[in-house]
Amino acid sequence: MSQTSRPRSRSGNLAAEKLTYAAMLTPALLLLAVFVFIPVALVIYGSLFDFGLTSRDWTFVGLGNYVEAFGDDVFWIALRNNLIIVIGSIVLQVGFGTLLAAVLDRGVRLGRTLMRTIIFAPMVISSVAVGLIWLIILDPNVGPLNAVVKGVGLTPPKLGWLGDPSISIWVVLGIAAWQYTGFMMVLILAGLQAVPKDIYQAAALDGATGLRAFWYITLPSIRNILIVAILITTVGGFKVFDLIFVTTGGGPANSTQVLGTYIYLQAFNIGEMGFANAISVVLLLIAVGLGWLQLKTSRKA
Amino acid sequence: MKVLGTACVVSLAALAIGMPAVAADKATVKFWTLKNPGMAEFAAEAIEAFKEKRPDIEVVYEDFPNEAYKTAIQVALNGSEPPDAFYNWVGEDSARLVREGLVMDVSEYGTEPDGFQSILSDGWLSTLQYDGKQYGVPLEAVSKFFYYNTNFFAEHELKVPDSFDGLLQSCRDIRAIDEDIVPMPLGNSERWKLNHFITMLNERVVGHEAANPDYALEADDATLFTNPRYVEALQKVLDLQEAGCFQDAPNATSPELTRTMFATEASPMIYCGSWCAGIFNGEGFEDFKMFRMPEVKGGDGADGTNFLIVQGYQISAKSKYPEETVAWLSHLVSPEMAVRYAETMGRVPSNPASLDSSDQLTESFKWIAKDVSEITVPINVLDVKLENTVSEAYLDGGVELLNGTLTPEQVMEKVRETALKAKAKLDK
Amino acid sequence: MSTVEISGLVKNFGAFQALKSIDLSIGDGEFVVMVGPSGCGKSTLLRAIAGLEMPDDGMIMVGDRDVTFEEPADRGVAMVFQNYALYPHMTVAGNMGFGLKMAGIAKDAIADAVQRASDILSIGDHLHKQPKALSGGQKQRVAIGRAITRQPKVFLFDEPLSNLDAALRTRMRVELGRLHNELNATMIYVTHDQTEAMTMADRIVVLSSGAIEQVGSPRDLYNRPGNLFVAGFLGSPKMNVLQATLVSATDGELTASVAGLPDITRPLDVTEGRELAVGDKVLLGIRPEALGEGDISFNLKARVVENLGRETLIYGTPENFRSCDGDAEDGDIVVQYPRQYDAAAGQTLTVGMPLDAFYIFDSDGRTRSFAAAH
Repeated sequence: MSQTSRPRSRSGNLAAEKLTYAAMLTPALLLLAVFVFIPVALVIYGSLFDFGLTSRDWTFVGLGNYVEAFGDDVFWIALRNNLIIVIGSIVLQVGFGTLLAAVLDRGVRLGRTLMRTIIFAPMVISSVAVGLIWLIILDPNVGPLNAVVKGVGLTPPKLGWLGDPSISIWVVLGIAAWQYTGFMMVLILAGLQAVPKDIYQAAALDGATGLRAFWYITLPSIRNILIVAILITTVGGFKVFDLIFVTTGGGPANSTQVLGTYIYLQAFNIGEMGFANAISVVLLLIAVGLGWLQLKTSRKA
Repeated sequence: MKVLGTACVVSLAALAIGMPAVAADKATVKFWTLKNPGMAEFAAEAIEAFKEKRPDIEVVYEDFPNEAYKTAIQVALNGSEPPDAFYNWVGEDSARLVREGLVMDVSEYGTEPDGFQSILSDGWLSTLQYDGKQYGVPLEAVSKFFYYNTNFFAEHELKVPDSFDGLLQSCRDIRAIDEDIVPMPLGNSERWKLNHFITMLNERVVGHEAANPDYALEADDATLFTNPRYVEALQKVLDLQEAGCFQDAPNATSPELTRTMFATEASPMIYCGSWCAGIFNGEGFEDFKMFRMPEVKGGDGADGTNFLIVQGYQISAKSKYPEETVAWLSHLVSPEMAVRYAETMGRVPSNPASLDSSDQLTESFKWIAKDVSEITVPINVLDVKLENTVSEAYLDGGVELLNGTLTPEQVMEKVRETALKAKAKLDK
Repeated sequence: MSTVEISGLVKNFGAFQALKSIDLSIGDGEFVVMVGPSGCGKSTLLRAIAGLEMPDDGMIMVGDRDVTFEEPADRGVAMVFQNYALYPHMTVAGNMGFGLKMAGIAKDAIADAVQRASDILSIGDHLHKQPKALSGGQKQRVAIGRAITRQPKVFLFDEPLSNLDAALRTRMRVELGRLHNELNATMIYVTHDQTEAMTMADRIVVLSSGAIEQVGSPRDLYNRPGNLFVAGFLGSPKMNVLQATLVSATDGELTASVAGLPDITRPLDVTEGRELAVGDKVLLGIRPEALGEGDISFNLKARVVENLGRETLIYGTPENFRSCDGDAEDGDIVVQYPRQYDAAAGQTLTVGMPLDAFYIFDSDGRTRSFAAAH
């Protein structure tokens, strides 16, 4: 549509072009405004007030909700738990996903598609269903895991896998890993399979086999995919809600609370909408920070 | 499922708010309630019967699952077209809506002979009165009992306990019969199970007269939740745990599982709501009887009190048809409908007048209905009655108590701390 | 620099025998080209030497060292792949120095080696670039440079030029020849391109179905192919083959009779092989370039005329005899004139045929008489 090579009408065309661009961008911007910018503005605005979902009056408290949040033990527990899930998930999901992908890519000859399907399967189950499945498996009274642990002569945790505050967050982390490692594996496997096989042969002749080939050839070849995987995992780790809501509800006694569930608790159970908004803004800032980081790294790569 | 449910309901609510009125000449009463087994059938029947009485009114029925409802109703009440009548828990939930002016004072309505104010007893009506004004129609009540397996008790010649110490002894006796039997499983994964225990232990040890100022955050800052008997009440939970009443991991066990354990006779006792009788019957188990939380020797509580959560309907302040809405609610608590409610839902209705006439009600239901009618003072459950943050502190405190991560003293310290904060905020 | 000695090498892929007991000696500094049709085992043999395929039986010696079960990197061989197989995430210098880095060589020494190799191949300007910034020819130079950097005893090439365009291929062919002379290295080169084989090799190894058909210098293989397969494989267009019957086999002479042609009499050059008797079916072969002028002449109805400038190929049907096998259609033969020739499809031409230019193959395909040199 651009006819910029015609010098006489150039300025007129430029204006028309700008108008066209604007017209084409408007629907997207409008939708973004309605579904993103305006809600975000409302949340930021709301975070400056003290009010509940059914309150008639909003009391302006300035940054009071933020001060309250930073002085709130549970807020820090929730943030810490988010970080545990983010870092733990990167190690477990991306780490194991890479290992499984490497094994499937090079080691396993028989039933590769079947294995891939089995490992990927948890990904297509909703988090809520996954949570319910694991509630049954981890049940301290009738759950099969306890039976297995007892069967090999060990003692399962007395307070239950999800009831013991010292381990419950790690158990939830494990469930998340069970659900998403397959997805990471498939993502990374796609990357691995795009690496030409003769590169590995060249590397073998150069003296890089096994772990050295993995380190010097495989990992650098899938660097960009790993960055994407880590980013997906990080964002997912900060956004996590459903899995925890279903399995522990943030308990026992807030020990698995994350920002997502704590926002829900404050907003809908306790009715501190302003406080919940303030935590949401903190979460938003973290997300924006991560987005910025992603843009930066992807431009570098 | 809960999350998805919530999301669906929120959007449903949004839809419902935006819906135009159905017919101009007919008064439309929008009626929201909880999705409980049998409720939709009962409502359909009631609406059919109501049409004959009042053809000028159209009742629009909608129901929601428990967790989703809590969010949806709050959103809807703030919208422009909230339901005219909606289900609510009587206690802090209903009181807050009164404070926030979202529900209507219906003192002037339903006073005719078949109006609810004429049908229901003063005791029942008082549960939804604030400052002498009527803010809703009580529908039903649930209470809480120890259920025990009569076969098991007879076989092992166990005595039905009549004191808290007797209760502890029962647990020890059952463990002595077989160490692997859990005498009284506790499914506290959702936290409210132990809260119900604590509600009644507080009543038996502290007493409601002493506790009420604390519960209402009306006591002085200096004395708020400082009564040492609160700690004693929590100590009783540990006593139960030490007597081997509970299984190892109550905080990771779901309420449903413990009910199944009782219904399948794996466990001979359970502390369960009045609604549990119907569940056990539904699972084909009928050999049980019930008793109330027994007295605690040396406790300050009154006899004859018991756990009672009243649930009822409130009328939105924005309702355009208050008279019609109240007529509908009065119809729901009429003798004919009340007995049908008990029959289809297995719950104790606020109007017990004609229950005896029914031949469909089970013995255990009739026992419960009679027991509920004999309650001298209804004791509302803590997580319904307390201010939200204090309620949270008590719920989490219970979890930590069972886990052994906090002592009774530390739990009460946290409760007091939270209560002081909440009170300061309220006073502002 | 080193010799390579292969003895009794067997490689099976499941039930498929890729290599059937291969014996081959390669001399120090020799340039050996392995040719054969697809699936003949030439690449498998190369990869076995490289250590990328483990043989099921047999032995591979590089110099005086048995490397049969050594790791690829420990064999003193370097390999250049058809698709270059450069590491995309490393610079050219990184690619070339990777083998030395893996061997734990000091950085300075690596840099020197890379510099030397890049000088030989004139790719010094590209050392800091990523492979994706290079052209195909440059990539292949880097791949060769990577092999040179490691200073191997034996270079292995797996169809290294087949991804390049024709002009570049010719240039690289010359350059590889120069490189061989310069480095004086032992090189084993796999290709399906007979021009590469004929031009570059000291010796050609012709493989078919996992076995060596013949080993020899390019000219030797071309002029004195040991069997019908080698005779047919080398030379383009292929040799014309006619069916014949022996009418005499005495006193070191064979006489064969072909329908539509006078009897052909050739000396019995090879006495090994099956006993020949009158009435045996044999095959006669004559190369397209041997036709044109000669003792007799026949009429040929041209079907296709390919004028290649320097030479002219005419595919056509002979009037009074038929061929079997060959590049031309059933029964057709092909004639190659080493000059431009005015002819059009459909035209009938008179073509000369020297009677001593025939090879005679017995029914096992073994060559028994060679054509006289022309």
